Amino acid sequence: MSVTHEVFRLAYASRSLLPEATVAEEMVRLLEHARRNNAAAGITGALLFTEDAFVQVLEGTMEAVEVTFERIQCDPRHAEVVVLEAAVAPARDFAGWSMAYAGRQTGPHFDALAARTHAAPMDALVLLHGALGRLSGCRVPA
Amino acid sequence: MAEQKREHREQPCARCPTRHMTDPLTGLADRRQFRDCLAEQLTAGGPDGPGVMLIDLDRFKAVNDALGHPAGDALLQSAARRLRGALRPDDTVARLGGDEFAVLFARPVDRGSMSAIAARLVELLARPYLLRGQVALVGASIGGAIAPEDGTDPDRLMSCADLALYQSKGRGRGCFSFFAPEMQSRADERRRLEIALRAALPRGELALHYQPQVNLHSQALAGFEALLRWNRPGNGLIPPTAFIPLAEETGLIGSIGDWVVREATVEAARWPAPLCVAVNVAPQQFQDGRLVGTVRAALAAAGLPGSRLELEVTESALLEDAGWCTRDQLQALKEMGVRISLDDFGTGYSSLSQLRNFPFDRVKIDRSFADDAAVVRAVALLGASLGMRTTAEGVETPEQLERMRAEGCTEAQGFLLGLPMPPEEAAALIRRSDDLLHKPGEVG
Ligand SMILES: Cc1cc2nc3c(=O)[nH]c(=O)nc-3n(C[C@H](O)[C@H](O)[C@H](O)COP(=O)(O)O)c2cc1C
Repeated sequence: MSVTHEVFRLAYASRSLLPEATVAEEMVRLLEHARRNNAAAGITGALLFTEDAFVQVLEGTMEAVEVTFERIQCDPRHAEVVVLEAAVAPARDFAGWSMAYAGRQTGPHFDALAARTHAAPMDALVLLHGALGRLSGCRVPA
Repeated sequence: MAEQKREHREQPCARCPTRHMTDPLTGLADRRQFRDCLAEQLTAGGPDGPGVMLIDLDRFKAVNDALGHPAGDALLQSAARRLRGALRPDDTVARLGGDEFAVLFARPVDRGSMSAIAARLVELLARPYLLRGQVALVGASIGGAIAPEDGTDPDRLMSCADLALYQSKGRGRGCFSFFAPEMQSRADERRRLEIALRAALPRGELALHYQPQVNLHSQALAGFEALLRWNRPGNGLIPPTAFIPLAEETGLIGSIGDWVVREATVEAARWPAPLCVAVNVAPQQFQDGRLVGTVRAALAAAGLPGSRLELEVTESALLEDAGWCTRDQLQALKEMGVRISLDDFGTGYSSLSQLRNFPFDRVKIDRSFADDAAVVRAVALLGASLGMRTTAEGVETPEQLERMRAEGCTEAQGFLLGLPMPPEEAAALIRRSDDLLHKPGEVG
């Protein structure tokens, strides 16, 4: 992870197109894949998944964020991407989280997810609120 | 970042010879290769011919201007990758030039599936781009054509897709249209209209009509707004809405706009002071940088003081002003005594903060608010606090007129106060203007 570079942070919201029937499996796959890629690229961040929307924060070098974001942009599993913030940040909010996950966990589909992601969703949610709360006019889905 | 994803590099289409003509910036096929592939597929084609899509990025120029060419190039590369990634590997994706892309489907497509793919591409290309830490937004307009219905010759098919693309832009951009035969006839008509419009000025077919503007406090005639009419032989009097967009698109607005300023100042010089003439100025007139000189020369030639000329600019003229040069020109005009008013306020991107961005002399409230007392009051109040006069447009009934006065507007215009009229009638109206407000029914 690069510590010598400035931290760039990007937050966006998008609408999920994940099919409801397989949403938990898809989510687990997506997260594992994201974490593997992010760890290699020095990206940290958090992903919030609500009823039908994503909010994601990506932190890293400007180049790494740009490349990762552009890849995510091409992903057909979501649409209507809106950038909430794109700016240099004083420090990482999610240092140590190659992609924290917060949001939907209840329901049978998500038992597997909860068991496998062993992230502390409340911590991630608190951090997300902190990160997004700085943006004016942005309502954080609870 | 440009080096990132070269694995998406375009391969020449399967049927084409191994010639490899690519666009160096994006690695996509270039125009020649695209045309070759299309010609190849058309000759090889079975009963279902190939389908073609032309894609234009909307507002790309604004991104280029604001963020610079390297960022613009990076955006084109990202857009190319998004397109390439969203289509089948054997579909041909090309960059024809600038911000224009094209897709040739390797397998037969019907209208339904092409529409569905286009909708996806419009959404995909409109997603934000991150370019060196800056967020850029563009849209995409798409036109489609399918052989053999729309054409069996490559150039014909491309021109059909191009007409469909033009249609998408006309529909407000960010959408997809299929070619339809009436687009061809409309394009032909447009071409004839353009030729006729080019001749209209030298042939003396353009005229100005003048619509009265009344001071709501003194109830006296304050002046006229000059409105352009085109007396097209065999077609009667054509309203500006029918030809100004074409004039703007073709750049003819420059010379027409110059003529309007000269003609209106000459006419206004015949009126008694302090009657004013208001002239509309198109955004493009600021872009060629001639406006200030034209106005100065016109005022001098007509012997009209600058204070009796008012130029009406729209909000879009200011919004399109990337380099602030419009504001500088407006400032120079103000220094000549010319008044500047913000036209059609409340339409488009309207925002009250726009009023603080330039010291306008006047704000004209769009006719669509003639019955919206709250908006009229808010604008009149804000205008007054910023030292601007306010004109209510589209006043049609005595009740509206009374309300506009009550809400604090300083001037009004509309059918009630007089339709746009030829200069002789305007002159006659000036002579009997004393009782204008008292017997509005007799006016116009
Ligand atoms: C909402 C959402 C968030 C994602 N977040 C990430 C991420 O943080 N990192 C990442 O590498 N991929 C993420 N992806 C997946 C990418 O879009 C893409 O599928 C993946 O990066 C492709 O990786 P590959 O090139 O290794 O196959 C996300 C996808 C979605 C829909």
